[in-house]
Amino acid sequence: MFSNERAGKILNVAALSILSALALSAPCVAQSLQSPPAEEMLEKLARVPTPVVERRNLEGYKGQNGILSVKTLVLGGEFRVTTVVPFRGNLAEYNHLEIARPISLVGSALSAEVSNRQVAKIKSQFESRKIFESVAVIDSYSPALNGAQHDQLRVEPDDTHREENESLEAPIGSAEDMEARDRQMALKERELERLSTRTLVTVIEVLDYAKGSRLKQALSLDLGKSILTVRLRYYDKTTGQEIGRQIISGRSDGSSLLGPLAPRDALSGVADGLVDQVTRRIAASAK
Amino acid sequence: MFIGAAAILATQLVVAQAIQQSSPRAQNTNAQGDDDTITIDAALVNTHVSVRDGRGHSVSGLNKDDFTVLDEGNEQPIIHFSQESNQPLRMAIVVDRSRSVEKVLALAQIAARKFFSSVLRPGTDRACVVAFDSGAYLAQDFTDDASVLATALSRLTAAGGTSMFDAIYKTSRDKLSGSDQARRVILLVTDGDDTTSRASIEQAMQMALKNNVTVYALRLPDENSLNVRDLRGKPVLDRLTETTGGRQFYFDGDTSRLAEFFNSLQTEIRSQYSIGYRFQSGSLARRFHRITIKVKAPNLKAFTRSGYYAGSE
Repeated sequence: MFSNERAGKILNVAALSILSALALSAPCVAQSLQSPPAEEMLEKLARVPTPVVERRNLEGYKGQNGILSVKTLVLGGEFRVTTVVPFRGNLAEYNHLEIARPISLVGSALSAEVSNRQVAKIKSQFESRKIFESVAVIDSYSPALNGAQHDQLRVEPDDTHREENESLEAPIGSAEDMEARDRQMALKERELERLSTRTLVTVIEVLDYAKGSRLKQALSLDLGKSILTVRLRYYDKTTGQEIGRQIISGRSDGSSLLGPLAPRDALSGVADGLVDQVTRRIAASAK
Repeated sequence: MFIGAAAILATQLVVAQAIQQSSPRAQNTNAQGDDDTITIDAALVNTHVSVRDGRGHSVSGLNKDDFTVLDEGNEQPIIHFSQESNQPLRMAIVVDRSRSVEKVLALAQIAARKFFSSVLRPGTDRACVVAFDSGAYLAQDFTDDASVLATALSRLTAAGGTSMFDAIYKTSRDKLSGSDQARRVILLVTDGDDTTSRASIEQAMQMALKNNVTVYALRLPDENSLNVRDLRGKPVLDRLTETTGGRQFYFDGDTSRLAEFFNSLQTEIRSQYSIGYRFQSGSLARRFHRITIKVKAPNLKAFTRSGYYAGSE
């Protein structure tokens, strides 16, 4: 299925011949394989202060090759991206990011622990990139609900009569008119504030998940693949409008240089893919 | 010769009829009297006059013979003269609550509260609170209770643009019109920088003059100006106050100076002279009539509204 499968197997054979190198890196690899509990990781990430936005550093960003890159060839965790709904608007206008917890469309195959680990990975990667003022994890997002609230704010009944009330022919306004005007102004200010701090929301739907087995991968029989396929929907939080949709597939099959000992899995691939897709669009807008 | 005399008589009759039509008082007088009688009393012009010495202090105790009244440059005989310190006041404090004075709104509120407590006489005077941003609102209707007025002031918050001319126009028209003998005063508390009015400054002044309203202004510092004393609002407020017979005061937050201003304002309002004269029929040729009042004594200067609209007297 993947074009670099053969090349990966050759590299796998080569990996066996450099066991000495592996021995040196063994403690690091072992550490990477022992993932800390997801809840603990999320809590730890939540304590991390808001990073400073550094979008200027993205000027030279060229995007990441999900299959043929040194990272994936050595450490595994390749990814593939299909854009289903092309992006609308300018992602650089969004200062905040909210990641909704993944929705499993594969039933119990996706455990809460894996789901949390995935979100934590994505969050930490975005935070290290420093392209958003804040990155938060939310339980869920309803575009219909947010859109309705937004529309309610936009239609302000008092505003339609304002011109009339303030015309020279109109009588002097009452104290109630003034209070109504204050309420109207407060609503408008709130709306402006919301618009000036635009938030991008990503909703993750898991379409396919297989944990995989490193033992089976070591057998070199094309078994034990780790697979994660997600559908990502991107929303403008304020308006509830969908601004893009993608499918990202992550995979790790022991074909990398480090073989079954490669620290990266399918989850890493998906996280890389998502972060890369958002980053490259922000970089393009910044140019 | 006969034709010329007839033409002059006909012109006088037309002008006299114009006076009757332009004045509600003229119609009332005419309904009671003989149909052939034209009563010129209908066109009585009344104006309030403040007299200040060289140091700006109000001067009282003058009499009719100390004044000269000119209507469009023509001297007019004074038919009514008084100095009534107990004349009731109808005051409107018109407070700017626009964004441009957001940081000094608290100063405006302090100023207005002091104004009520120092000037308002319970049982005699009445005041109302008008707030304006891009619209004008009656925050508190007429009352003689200073605490009620103070409460209304404390509720004001900053919002929107500055429609100062609209506020003067509507306050004069809706709250200070009428034919009672009360002195009508607007105390404008603002930085004077109008941004969103529908009315022009001329329309605002015209409405104030029509209702015999004197505009005083308490100018607030403009937070956007680097040199707070060199403000865009100053010449505008100068024009508004001088045209209506009032004056302006710059309030930099020093409440002791504010008290001084209110004392002098109170003295001025209480010591104003009321002068009445009838205009000549020939002067109806122009709608706006310029009034000039001079004091014969040296070093004294009279301040009154700049003129009146013939149809409104």
